[in-house]
Amino acid sequence: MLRRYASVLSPNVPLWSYGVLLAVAVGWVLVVPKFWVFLGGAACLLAISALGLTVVVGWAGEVSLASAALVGTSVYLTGYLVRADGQHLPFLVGLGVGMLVAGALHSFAALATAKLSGIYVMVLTLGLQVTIERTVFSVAKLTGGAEGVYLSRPSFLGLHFDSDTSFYYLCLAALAFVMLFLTLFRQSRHGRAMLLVRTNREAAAAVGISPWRYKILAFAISGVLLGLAGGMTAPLYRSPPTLLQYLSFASLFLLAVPVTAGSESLISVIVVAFTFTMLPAGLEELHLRLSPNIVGGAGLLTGTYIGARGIGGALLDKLRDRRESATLAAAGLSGPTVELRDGREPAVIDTVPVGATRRPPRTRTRVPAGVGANGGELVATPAGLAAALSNGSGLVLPPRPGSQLDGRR
Amino acid sequence: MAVTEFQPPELGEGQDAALEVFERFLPEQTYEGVPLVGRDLSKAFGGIRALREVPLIEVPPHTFVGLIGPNGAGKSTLFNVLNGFTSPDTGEVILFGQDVTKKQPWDRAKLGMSRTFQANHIDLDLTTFDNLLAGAFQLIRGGLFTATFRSSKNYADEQKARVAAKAVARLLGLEPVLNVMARNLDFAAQRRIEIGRSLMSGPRLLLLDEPTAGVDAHEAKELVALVKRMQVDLGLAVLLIEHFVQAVMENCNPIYVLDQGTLIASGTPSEVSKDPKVRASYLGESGTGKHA
Repeated sequence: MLRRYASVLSPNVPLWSYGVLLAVAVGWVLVVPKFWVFLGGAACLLAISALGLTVVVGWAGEVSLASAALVGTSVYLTGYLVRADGQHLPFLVGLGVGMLVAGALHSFAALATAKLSGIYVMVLTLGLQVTIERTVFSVAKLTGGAEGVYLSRPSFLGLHFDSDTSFYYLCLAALAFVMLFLTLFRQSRHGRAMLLVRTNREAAAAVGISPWRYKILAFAISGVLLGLAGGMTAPLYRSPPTLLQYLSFASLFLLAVPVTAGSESLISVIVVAFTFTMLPAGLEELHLRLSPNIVGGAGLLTGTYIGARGIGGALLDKLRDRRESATLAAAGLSGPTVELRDGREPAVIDTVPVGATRRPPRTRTRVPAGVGANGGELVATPAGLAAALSNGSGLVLPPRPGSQLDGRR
Repeated sequence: MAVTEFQPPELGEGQDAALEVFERFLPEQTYEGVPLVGRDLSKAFGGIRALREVPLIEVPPHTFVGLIGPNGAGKSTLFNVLNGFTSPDTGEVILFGQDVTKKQPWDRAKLGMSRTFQANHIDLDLTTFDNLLAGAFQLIRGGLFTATFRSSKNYADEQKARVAAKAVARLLGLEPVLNVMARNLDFAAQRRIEIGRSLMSGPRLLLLDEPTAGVDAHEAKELVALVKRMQVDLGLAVLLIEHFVQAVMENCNPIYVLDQGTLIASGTPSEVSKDPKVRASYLGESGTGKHA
């Protein structure tokens, strides 16, 4: 039975390292001051929000700017449903409602833009964010108004999560479950379908996948996870945070986490979320002030510079490419290359690798012409070749090992 | 009570074993009738008439049908109409005896139609294996939760699809690079992945839109021959758009010729190549063998 879940663990990571990770995640709160334990809980919840956004940004290729509003909605709604002067419902019921409402609102945004993408989705989700700010956030009954409200931490199934440490473990358990769910989902037929829709909608449709359905599913999953983070944030602070924390600017901050981390590695999303939460507080202990918003801005810039695969993807690519070059060499396929001939000599003068991920040189490069007609040099322009051969350029000349290209054809 | 875990089929050595595994993976043919018929199809984009009442395009069972024509002839528009990406202004598309003119492309795929595209639409950040597996979407059962948490049925289907993906990789010469990221592969290999992904969707009818585009002449010939072999071995119906006329003439029968949105000829390769309209508008007086 367990065998069917074995793929959750990466074959390239030794088993013991998972044990170490678990020990660190559980043990570090036992040796640090309480403040850091509290921050640990907040970081777990930021990581859950960011993982939710990763589904939309990384796996569905869309951008949502309504994330802060959805987290805020769940914060206030769950808080209202479970607190004594609200509906006084069990915590898990209130949390479930918060998650469902956030999921439904996010799905609604996806439904309204089902046939659109890119900028239209961004605009509509921003509209959803502003609408929630003007409606949900103005209901004093939910937010507690200027006076604020008190919320006790939950107890259920005979477990009490009143202390910072126990609440951290609750947040950690939720994060672990989200991580497991998303890993399994990503490896399922639905996860693969979502990625294919991101790659190309028509290609997805051609193998029986409805692109609209998977776009809506991505927003729904993301909304539910944002709702989970929001619903657990309410008792973390004991008094739900001010609505200023859930205005549109906060959506950009949330977006910065998956953009920086990339969609390739969920672990990297968690690492970035913890860094974003802990770094400003850590620097403050050293009497250095750094606004979390600056951290978010720097993250967005870094993520944009690195590209869609983010820090996690870039690191994994480095490891993978090294491994794969050996596989390709063993198979006699040393990757995309072009053979240069000078047109007069049948022999190959040189082979230029044209990796799709390689940045083409910006200057003309002299390729030594070992068997050139005059024994001199053949001037080649790998930049031009690489550009022509790049799949992304639209030109589709063949970067095939052994392809003949004389610089003219 | 002990739960017996599903044992996936074994993939033996050689091409025949791969073919056998993949044949077993393909769904039962449940639909009767001619795989594809397009009748009186027209499509205009503003003032441009891309298709002008193309009277009949028919892909009979187990045949390799060619569709040729110069650039701008309307071949890709016809493909899009047949596939459902573009709705025709007039005419109808019949798939395995069912009128699918108003059906979405993914609904047509469920009836057993799949296609490839002129440009590569594979995920370069996935391995060959994962790209192939993505094609098996409709042959793996499971809703959101049963597929995510791997119910017994879903797990069994997944295992079968994984073995089938390895078989397809072998048939297409991709086995050595099964776990290599697509971006690290050459263009011809990426084209093969795209064809493999379409095959993994379990089609009975395959539309191939210039599978050799961007591939050198030698590789192109090899690729078309490979597709032909799979078409014969798997009993598929294939409609092929190809600029590499020689490959079409050698492998396809019948052949349709479009020019400026009009069907100017159809028939066997020899009939088409002798047709004066075809010679005048497309092949040139010197005959076949032109790699346009």
